[in-house]
Amino acid sequence: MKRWLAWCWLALVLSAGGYVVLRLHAGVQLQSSVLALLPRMERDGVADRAQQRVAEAGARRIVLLIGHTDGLRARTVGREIAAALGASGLVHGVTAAVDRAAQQRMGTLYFPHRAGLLAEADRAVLLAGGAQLLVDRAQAMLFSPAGFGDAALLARDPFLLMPSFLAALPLPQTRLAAEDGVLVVRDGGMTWAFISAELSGDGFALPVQQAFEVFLAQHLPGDVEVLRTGALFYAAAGAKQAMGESSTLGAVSLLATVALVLLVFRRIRPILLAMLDIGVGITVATAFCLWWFHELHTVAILFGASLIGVAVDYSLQYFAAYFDPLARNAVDRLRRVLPGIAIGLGTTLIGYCTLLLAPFPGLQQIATFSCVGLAGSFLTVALWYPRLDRAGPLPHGTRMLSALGGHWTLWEVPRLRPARLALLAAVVVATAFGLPRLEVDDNVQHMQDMPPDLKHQEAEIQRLTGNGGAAQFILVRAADAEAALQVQEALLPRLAEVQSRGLLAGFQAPAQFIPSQARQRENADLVTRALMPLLPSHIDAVGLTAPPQPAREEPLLLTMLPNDGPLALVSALVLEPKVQLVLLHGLTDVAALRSELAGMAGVQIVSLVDDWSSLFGIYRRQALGLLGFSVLLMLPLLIWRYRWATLRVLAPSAVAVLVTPPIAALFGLAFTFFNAMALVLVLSIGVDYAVFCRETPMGRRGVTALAILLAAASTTLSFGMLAASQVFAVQAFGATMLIGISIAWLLAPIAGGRPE
Amino acid sequence: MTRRGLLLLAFAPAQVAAEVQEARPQILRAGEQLRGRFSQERRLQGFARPLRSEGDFLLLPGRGLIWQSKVPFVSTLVITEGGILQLMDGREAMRLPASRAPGLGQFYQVLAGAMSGDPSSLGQVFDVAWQADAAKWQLTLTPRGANDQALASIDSIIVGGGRLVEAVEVRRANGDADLMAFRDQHVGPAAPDVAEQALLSLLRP
Repeated sequence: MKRWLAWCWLALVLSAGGYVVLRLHAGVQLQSSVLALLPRMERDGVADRAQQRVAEAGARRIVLLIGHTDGLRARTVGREIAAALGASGLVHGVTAAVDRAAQQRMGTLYFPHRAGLLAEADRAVLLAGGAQLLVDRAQAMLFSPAGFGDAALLARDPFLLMPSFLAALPLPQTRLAAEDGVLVVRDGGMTWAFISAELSGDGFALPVQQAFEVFLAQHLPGDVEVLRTGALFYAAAGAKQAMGESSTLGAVSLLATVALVLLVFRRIRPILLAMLDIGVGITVATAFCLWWFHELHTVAILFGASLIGVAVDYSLQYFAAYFDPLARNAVDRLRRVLPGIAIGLGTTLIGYCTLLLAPFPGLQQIATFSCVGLAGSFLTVALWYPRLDRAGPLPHGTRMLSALGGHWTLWEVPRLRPARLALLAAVVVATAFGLPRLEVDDNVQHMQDMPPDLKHQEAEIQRLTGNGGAAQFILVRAADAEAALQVQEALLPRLAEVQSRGLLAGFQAPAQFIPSQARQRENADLVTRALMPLLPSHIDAVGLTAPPQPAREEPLLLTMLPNDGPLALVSALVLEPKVQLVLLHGLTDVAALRSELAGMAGVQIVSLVDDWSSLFGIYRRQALGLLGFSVLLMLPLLIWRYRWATLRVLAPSAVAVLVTPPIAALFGLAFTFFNAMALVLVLSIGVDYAVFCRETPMGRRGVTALAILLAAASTTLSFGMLAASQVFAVQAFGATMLIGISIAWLLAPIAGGRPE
Repeated sequence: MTRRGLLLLAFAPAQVAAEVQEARPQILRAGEQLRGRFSQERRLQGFARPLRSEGDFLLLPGRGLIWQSKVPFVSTLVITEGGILQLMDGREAMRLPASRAPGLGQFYQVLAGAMSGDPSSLGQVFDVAWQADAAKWQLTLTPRGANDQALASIDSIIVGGGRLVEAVEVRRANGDADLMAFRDQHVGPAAPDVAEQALLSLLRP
């Protein structure tokens, strides 16, 4: 029976291995965005769609600035790269030059409908009774050097209101000027040529990142400076770092574990068995995740590397039994440790399963990876070790075991009471000092790891082009397109007010480009009422003899917006006629805007960063809930086995969970969602140690002490490595694990005593 | 390239001076300024009479041109690389960023280039014909291609003068013509007053 199971397991492992090889050969999709770890939000379908649209557009956009002290060189290289980019197929919609034809189309779109179009400032002047100012302006423009306007323009637009309207349109890229047909910005002796494009592929996909890197390496000459920004570059840097780190951290943790095992057992066999165990765990976990999720997130791989530290615990329990003189052979050894590791696996799986309950796709990957890997490792120990291991007990461990028995005596001998009290006092004092420093941090910008160099480049591009990525917007919803435009027209003066207080850099609303029909009628009436009486004297003053050509009456409609050229932005803001977006640039005070807009119907501020941050807050609290929940889930198993002693078994990990956040705060670490998730693992692993101790009879105490010491050492080695990660989320996780596991290990013998 | 070469040849002082003692414009350099008075006459089709105006101007090469009309009414026009700004009674009446009206921006750069007697900015977009005697010179600029909207409507620009540019005439394809005459001109180290500096900084992008 057992033999049959072992063969079955072998077949399964082999096919899993084959599957992984096949998938790796076909090219695995690696995800590297922390945002991909976030849940799909379910609160508000329309807001989500809007948000997704903005986020996606942002994720696909890349901006390059090609800089040189020689303007001609900058323009030439900029033009070449833009052309090569367009031809490469990597991107579409390259913007590098002034699109004259598109500008002309814009004029052609607006001019026939000029009767109802007024620049906001001109409208204000007219409403304030300053019609004469506009007449004077038109005349001044006409008289200006090599003047503005001729008879043809004046006959159609006698007050030159259209040039004023067009100039006031809040189109992007206002700091860029056209030189020689190339969009450039000059700054302190440098000329920067501007290139913006939309990626054709997914910026988070590794092949796209690599293709782009190759492209830039091939096409960028050495003499130009380059500034780049776009989710692509952040994702590429993140993926590279995660891959690099996971291989280094994984390797260091593996080597350290191997060295430790060699040192203790002085045999190569435990190494081989442990490697087999870990290898099987990782293989089946990878295979399952690739099959189940179709892709792997880099964070899942990182945690996968750390899984080594946990999976090896079962092997270590078994190996420690080599020093047990009463366990004569492999079957004996397995029989002695099996209850402990089975209950340990049970509680750990419960801990990981709570991660599955968190609706974060990435965490589900990590949880699945861990559960499958651990189960695989357990099966390997239980089914294969007795068949592969023919060794007898090891004789050299007696002194080591008796020394390690001290870990138990520390908690039992009355003589050591002062030491125990000192230790507890140290923990209490550290906690007391850390508690006031404990800070909660949910800011998504702190979680998403941004290399400072790229951040600097992004800030430079923002400064140079005056064109920042908008992550905030106002969602406008109304009964129909006309009503939505009217809502915006009520909104715009309030935004201008917030802008004048310096809290908002700029905004773009469809209504600024296409006024509502009501507003267009109002404008036409206003011009007829306030300006037209001045027309005869105006015509007379300048001496225009060409007959006036009045504008058409039909209003300009949202449906007339083109999908290309400078106005493509506006069509992108119209999700559907009755659902429109107002983009906000450089909003520094969401609360101020919120209070300014209080009471307005149909408008909703949506801020990606704030929303995601509050989500991180929600899920941090949820994670703490999961922590309590996983204790509840473990209780039936523990009570069934230990009755009242369950309290003793839970005590070490409970203390660890409670004191770790304040102690981490002493090191300046904030409490984030990721720390909360780490606490879930501290609990389950800590319970493992306590269970191992609880399952140990008096005579085997040294053996178990050795096993949990090795387990804690290997776990802290691998998770302690994570504390050294540059990826913020991983570091937060690692530091919490490091502190929590150390404490849980130290306190584990408290659970000791033989179960009835 | 050859045309540009010819142009540069035409302006090469040493060679020109060796053959005939021809008049040539003094080229304003960065760090210098040109102050003077202007009178302008726009002869536009469809208008009963020419539009005449007068005022002062200040040209700072590389920085901008300030054009202050006094007659028939007071208004200020500031032209820089960043765009065009019109002020009336000290209030901003119209602002055109260069990115929004690239052709217009380029046209004003040509104008500033012509006024500063600097040919290098003109050779790229114009064919240049040069005439001169001992006292006067004249430059006829013809747009090379119709690739620029603002320049496409231009038939030719005629720049003339002695030591400094004294007249600029812009002839358009539709028969319109703008005539500008400059007098009382002084070249000196750049010294815009506070108000003028403020005007130029209004257009800094």
